[in-house]
Amino acid sequence: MLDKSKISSQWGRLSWFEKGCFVGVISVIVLAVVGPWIAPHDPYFVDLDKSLLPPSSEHWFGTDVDGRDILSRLLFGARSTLLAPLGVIVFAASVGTVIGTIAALNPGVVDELIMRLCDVGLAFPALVLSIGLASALGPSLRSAIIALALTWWPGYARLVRSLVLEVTHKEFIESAKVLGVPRRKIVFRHILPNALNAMYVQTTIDVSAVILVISGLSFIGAGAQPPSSEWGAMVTSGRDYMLTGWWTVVVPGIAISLTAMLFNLSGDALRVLNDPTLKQSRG
Amino acid sequence: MIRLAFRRLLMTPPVIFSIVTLVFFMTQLIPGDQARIAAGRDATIEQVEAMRIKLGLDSPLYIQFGQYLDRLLHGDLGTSVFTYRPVLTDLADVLPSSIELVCLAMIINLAISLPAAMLTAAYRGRRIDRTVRIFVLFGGTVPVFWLGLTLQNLFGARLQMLPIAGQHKSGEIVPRRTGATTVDSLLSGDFSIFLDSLTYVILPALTLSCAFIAVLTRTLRSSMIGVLDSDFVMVARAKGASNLRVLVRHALPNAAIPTLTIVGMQVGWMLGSTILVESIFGRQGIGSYAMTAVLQKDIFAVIAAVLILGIAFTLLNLIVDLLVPIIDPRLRRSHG
Amino acid sequence: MHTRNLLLKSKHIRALAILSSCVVALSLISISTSANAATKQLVIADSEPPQTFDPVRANNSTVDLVVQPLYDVLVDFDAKNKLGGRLATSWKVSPDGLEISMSLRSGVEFHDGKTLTSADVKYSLDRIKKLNVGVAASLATYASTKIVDDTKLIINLTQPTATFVSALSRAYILNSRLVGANEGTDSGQAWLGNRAAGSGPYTLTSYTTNQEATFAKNTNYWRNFTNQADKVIIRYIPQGATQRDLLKSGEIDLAMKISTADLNGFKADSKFVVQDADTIVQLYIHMNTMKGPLKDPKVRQAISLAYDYASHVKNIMGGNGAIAQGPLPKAIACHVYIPDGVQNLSRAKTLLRQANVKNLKLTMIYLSVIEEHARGGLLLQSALKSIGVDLQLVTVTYPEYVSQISKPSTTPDMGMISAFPAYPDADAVLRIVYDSKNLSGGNNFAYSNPAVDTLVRNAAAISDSSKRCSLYRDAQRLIVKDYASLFLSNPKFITVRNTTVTGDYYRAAHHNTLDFFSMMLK
Repeated sequence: MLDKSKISSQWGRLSWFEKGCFVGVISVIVLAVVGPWIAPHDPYFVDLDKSLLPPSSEHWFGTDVDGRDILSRLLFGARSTLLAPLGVIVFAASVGTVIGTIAALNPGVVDELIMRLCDVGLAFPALVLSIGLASALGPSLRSAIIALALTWWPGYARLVRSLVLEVTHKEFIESAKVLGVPRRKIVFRHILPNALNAMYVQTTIDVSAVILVISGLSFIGAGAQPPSSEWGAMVTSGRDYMLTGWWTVVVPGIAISLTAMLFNLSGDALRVLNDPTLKQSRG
Repeated sequence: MIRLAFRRLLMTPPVIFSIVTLVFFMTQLIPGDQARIAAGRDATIEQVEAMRIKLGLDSPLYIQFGQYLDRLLHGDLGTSVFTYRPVLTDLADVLPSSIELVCLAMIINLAISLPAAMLTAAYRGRRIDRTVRIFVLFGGTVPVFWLGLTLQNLFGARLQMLPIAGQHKSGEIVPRRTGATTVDSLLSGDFSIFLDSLTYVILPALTLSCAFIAVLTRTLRSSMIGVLDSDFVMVARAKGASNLRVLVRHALPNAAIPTLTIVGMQVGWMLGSTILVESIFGRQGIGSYAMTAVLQKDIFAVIAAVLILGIAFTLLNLIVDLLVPIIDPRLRRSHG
Repeated sequence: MHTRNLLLKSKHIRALAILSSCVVALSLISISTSANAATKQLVIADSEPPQTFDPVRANNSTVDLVVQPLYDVLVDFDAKNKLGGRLATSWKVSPDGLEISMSLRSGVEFHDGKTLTSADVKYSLDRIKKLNVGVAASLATYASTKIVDDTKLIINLTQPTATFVSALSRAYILNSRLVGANEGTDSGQAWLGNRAAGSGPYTLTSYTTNQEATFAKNTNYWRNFTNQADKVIIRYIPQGATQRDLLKSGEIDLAMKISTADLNGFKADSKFVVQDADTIVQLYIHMNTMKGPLKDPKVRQAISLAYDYASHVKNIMGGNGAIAQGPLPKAIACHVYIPDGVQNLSRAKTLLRQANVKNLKLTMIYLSVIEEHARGGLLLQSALKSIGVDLQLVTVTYPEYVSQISKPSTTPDMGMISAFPAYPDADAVLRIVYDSKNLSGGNNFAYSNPAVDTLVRNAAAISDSSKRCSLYRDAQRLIVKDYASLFLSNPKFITVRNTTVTGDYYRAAHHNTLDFFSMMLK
């Protein structure tokens, strides 16, 4: 699936803007990993005398209402902010792929049943489930991840099912069948790899969606709880200070927005790369 | 075609039933003794136990579920342990304003996405493409409540161009017919109140729609690019058609199918995510209703809210799935 | 660029410009003007709508706020916490404490014109007992009412209860004929969901669910109006930031939920008044005295000495309150002198060493959705870290809090919660929170001291106020000696209003509500 020569040739096809997006995504991930080591202050140290200091040389992004350095909180919080969508999507994508493939390869009753199961999953309002699970398990990032994973997999199941169906009817598969290649080999060697190429696009874009949904859950108290420095929780706890200490809301807000945008635009670029029939004009 | 429709319709009740069952048992997981919540914070133990018997919480779970289903089939959604009124009455109070909000949000969505998609598809790769895309994307990736609070502060508090919160002017009473202030004022014939009530929905609808605009614009853009690159469009251009004409004549109709599919799902999602906007702009709606219900462990209210949202979503998708083959005859023979 | 390729031709641009100016013009037309000067109107913003208008649920402040103007009570507390007669002109408790004879005021009319008599009082009290919810919790010893005549009645109790008359301040008197006719199968609870059947100073004109409640002056009220509003509107706005904006724009006259961060802006603005009042609310951190690492009183004492109480009041509350002094809120009678909580980290460390405790790990449940609690939890966590104690903060919802402390086996190490006494009586705090009989209730956090039990139960039965006070003072001293809880703060009740309205409209006995009858417009 990951072909080195293919990657370098694809990279050349990208515009400088799209290359920038990919570099941005990698940087965010790197920051999340090394964040805690390069943070200048202790993100949990409460110093009420230093409450709501504006950005300065000592505190690049200022302090929040409890005197904690915002830059340090941002760096510490990058991990939970990015791990959350990772958890959701890994779960949703794996479960969805398995279920979707089963559905596609077993038309009839099995397919119908699985599709209706997906319908139930998609129709169930994600927000209510998140609040319900937050109540049941105690509000936390973990309960939010579980709730979102449970509502996200049907989307992947449907996607994988249609991708597999599309590939199954292609000619080279038909020829393989005629040639007597065993079914399992067909599935794993030919169908899945082709189908999964399109998944990268979806997962990248979903990362941005999940980041935003989780920050929204924090606002209503169903996501990460204090003193977590998850970015959504940071925006929530700063909301009373939007006028008196705008940096407490704007900085993590831009971080969320920028990260989501970078993932999103990278996903778009991947989509274009993936489908050679889409001609790109470079104006 | 009819066979397909019939089969889909047949499948809807089991889907709804599964949702009801799922949420009933999910609510059981919510901590908190429902009897104590209903009896009150300082209730004595005897009072709590009396309440438990009154609510039927002393019987085993499967019996409670059975009783609930029985009432449901007779149209009784139960009594709320929070408001002590029938859940159906409470829902009828709050649902219309959510529907009003979502309708306007969808209109805004289409009004912005269609032109934006056409613009960026026509000028693909140029600066205007990138600018519009980034602008639309920004609106969609900014945290919703930040967007809401900022818009409210800017247009409401500072510029005083639009109302800050609420659904109508204080003290102004519109005879209630549907529960949606805009529709009611229209029905009562007062056009100035109608316009006024529209101004109350604009900011919340705009806030709600932003995330959905980002998705719809992107999808429509790729669909239109696909059309613009196709052969018959090349021929049309060779014959001298302008870009605008090509877009309107060919790209738009082709975009109808993906638009319809996505809009169908988005309406359902919008309806389920109104809570943030309602809280910021002081509107009532099914979002805050559902959240209060969950936090108060108001089981019947939770189930009713999920039921409404689930049915809405399922029905909308059903309608879309049925309309698609009608619009595009090529897709009539589909594989479920 | 060829003009042909332009997507937007100049005629399109012109059309767009005209369209957008129309939209802007339309929206400018609908800028609202402030209240009509002919009718004196008062617009209030509250954050949480009432779950019902049924007065039996008036133990909940959101309900209490809306039923107060619509109904009358037999007796009530004023802004200085003094109990006085309202519908009752006089009352006497029998020597054995089992009978309360009352005389009612005559000539009081309900909103529908019917006269208020003893029969309505009997109906209302019987209904509370029958439903056994809400305010019934503080009227648990009510047995029956005997009607002597239209203005004289005798209330019978199952046992002597010193606090019964105080608790009557939330027993709103209903129009028995009106409610009786609409009882249905639930004693009228559904019917009273958004309707009123009272005799109070205001009538309910309309209620839009979760949005707005409108009240109109009742000109037949038995007290005389002076400068009160003719019309009062309550708007339900959940966000403090929105209330602030509405207040500044003049759309509302009084806001009940302005965040601490915005108060300074209003304090500096001469167009607005930040009005504060002392409450009987108190914030506690209760400790599990029955099991776990906090069973040792020395450890509990160490924890109490670790918290920075002064910083809590100064920084977290912005100075809008005071440090609590002991288990009983200072404004309640029978409060015994107990010094402010003071931080002493070195003494705390010494105590931990004496108790032979190293690497202590504790868990605290709290309602982090409340800003003061969230920041207090963080402050405690930071303070405990500096004495070598690791505190884990666990967010819970209120029903979950209640559910965890209802069994001593599931009660965690610590819990942060506020007490909202229903009336200014020591019993409402000391017995409800510290009597071991309430271990399986929603208020007692794993505390059991037989000496305290005896004191508060005896005090609940006798009526001599000075005797009661000495019992309560002893109880307070015992609870403090046990280091049962950290006593954090007594908040002030803060409202921000413009200069058109004045009055002493807060009563500690009805926390989080406004007394419309005391609100005067200029």
